[in-house]
Amino acid sequence: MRVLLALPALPALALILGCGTSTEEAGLSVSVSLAAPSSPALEGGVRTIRTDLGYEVRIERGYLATGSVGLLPCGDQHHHHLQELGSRLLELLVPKAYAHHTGGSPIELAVGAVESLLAPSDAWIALGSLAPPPDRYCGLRLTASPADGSNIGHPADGEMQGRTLRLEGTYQHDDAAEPTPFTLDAAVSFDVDLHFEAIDLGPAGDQTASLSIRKALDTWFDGIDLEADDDDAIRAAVLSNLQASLIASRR
Amino acid sequence: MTPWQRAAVRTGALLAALILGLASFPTKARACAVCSCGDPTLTTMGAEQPYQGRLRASLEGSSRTDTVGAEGVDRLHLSERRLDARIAWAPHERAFLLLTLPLLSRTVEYVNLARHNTNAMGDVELHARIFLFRDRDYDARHLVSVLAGVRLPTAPLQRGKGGALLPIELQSGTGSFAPALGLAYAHFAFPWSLYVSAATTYATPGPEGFRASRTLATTVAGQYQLHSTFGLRLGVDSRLEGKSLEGGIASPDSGGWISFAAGELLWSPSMDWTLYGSVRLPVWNALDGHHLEGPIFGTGVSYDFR
Repeated sequence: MRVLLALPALPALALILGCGTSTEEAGLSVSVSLAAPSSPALEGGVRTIRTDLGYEVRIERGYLATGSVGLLPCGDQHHHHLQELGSRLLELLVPKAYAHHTGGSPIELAVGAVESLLAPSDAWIALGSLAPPPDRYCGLRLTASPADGSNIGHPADGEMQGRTLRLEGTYQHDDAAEPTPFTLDAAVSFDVDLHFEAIDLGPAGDQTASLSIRKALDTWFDGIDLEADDDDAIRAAVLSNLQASLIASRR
Repeated sequence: MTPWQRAAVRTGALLAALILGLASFPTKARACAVCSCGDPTLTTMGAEQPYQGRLRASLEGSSRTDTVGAEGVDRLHLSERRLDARIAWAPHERAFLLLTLPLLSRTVEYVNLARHNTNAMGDVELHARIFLFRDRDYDARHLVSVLAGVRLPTAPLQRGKGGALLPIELQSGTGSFAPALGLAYAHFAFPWSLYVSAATTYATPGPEGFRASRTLATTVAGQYQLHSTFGLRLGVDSRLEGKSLEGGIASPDSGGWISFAAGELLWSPSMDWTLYGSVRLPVWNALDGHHLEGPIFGTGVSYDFR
């Protein structure tokens, strides 16, 4: 009987002492960073690009804004559609009221950033870490969108407010006598899916991974006749070339 | 720890000391609760017949699971093991006081397989059962009682990664006082007995805009005494709950209705001792949002001191 008397004393003792223990086991995580342009080389604070149409473009000032980055599972899209159809049929038979809990997606980093395109080539911006569920991941979806004041790295002068891309500099055709100043602004949003060699995240695979989004500016003005094309055509072509130049890989 | 929690801890410690003091009084070698109340029905804690000075203690271990949130998005899976130490004391033939001291061991698993293990005190509960009606003083057949109690915010609030409070459904306690009020009816017609109760719990606001669900819990249970030492109890436990608040905003994965089919086996190996094992299966889960509660398994022992 004394034993029984003593047992209720244990929680009471814990209460009196206010004791409690807590331990944490880290889960799966993926860190994502934005690397500064790898080429062309930065010389004297300027990047100089030679285009396929014979122009020399000097970038003297440039920024690119990123709105979010998300992991892309490898899953077969057709298979996913069938699964979704099955789930919908099941829901018709057994209705469920689903509502989303607060907390956001574990495979999306909704962290905006503004990167300088004239940062040293070995520089990078850490966007943060994702805490994804176990899966096989094959890519990153980068969403570029107009910056606001909350973006990491937003220039102090607010120059990128409401803008996705800004380039300032000069261009000069091989035949031209003098360089022509130019400014290119874009305030559009776009998604780019960047594929990489599959990563298996899970108990039997990788526990952590570091991904980097890299870019090179060498081709950004390819196919553009800067003297003949209008501003909208130049902007569209640069954005298209920019998207094609992005690469995601493990660091 | 908030001032309220500190006050609750002191109150809980005082109550615990009081109960332990009571339990340390010299008692008869054999209480023979059956002799004192006139009914041989084996009873679970909270369903027993009162007589002045009845003193009963129990220890119950149980485990359960609770899943909140969307799969692959923000799902949190809770596994909980708890030990409830209870002392029931009747200072009067028409009043029972019940103190519950819970100790919890909890594991929360996140979608990325991260785990958070916590061993801590739960919310201490103090309840009173006042018998408004009994058809006769000895060997009563019909008993009607009012239930009143309070849950004290003694459990530490748990935070997840980044320091944000975990959803209220996954907390060891509510972080606030929660008074409760209800009615119960018990019928004893050996070897049969019936127990029906309904109680509402009104959780008060807790810290950081937290507030537990306000609930109405009902129990309907019938028991058949298979043998003088064996009892089989079957019933349905249900809970209707309102929305809980997180940061002052209603949590979408809270509220709704859930019913458990309950089965319990009671065995009295010797006088005044009762061992029991129980299982509660969620047979009707109409909880809102993404919220699934799993089966609850329990086992315990109770002893009548007086």
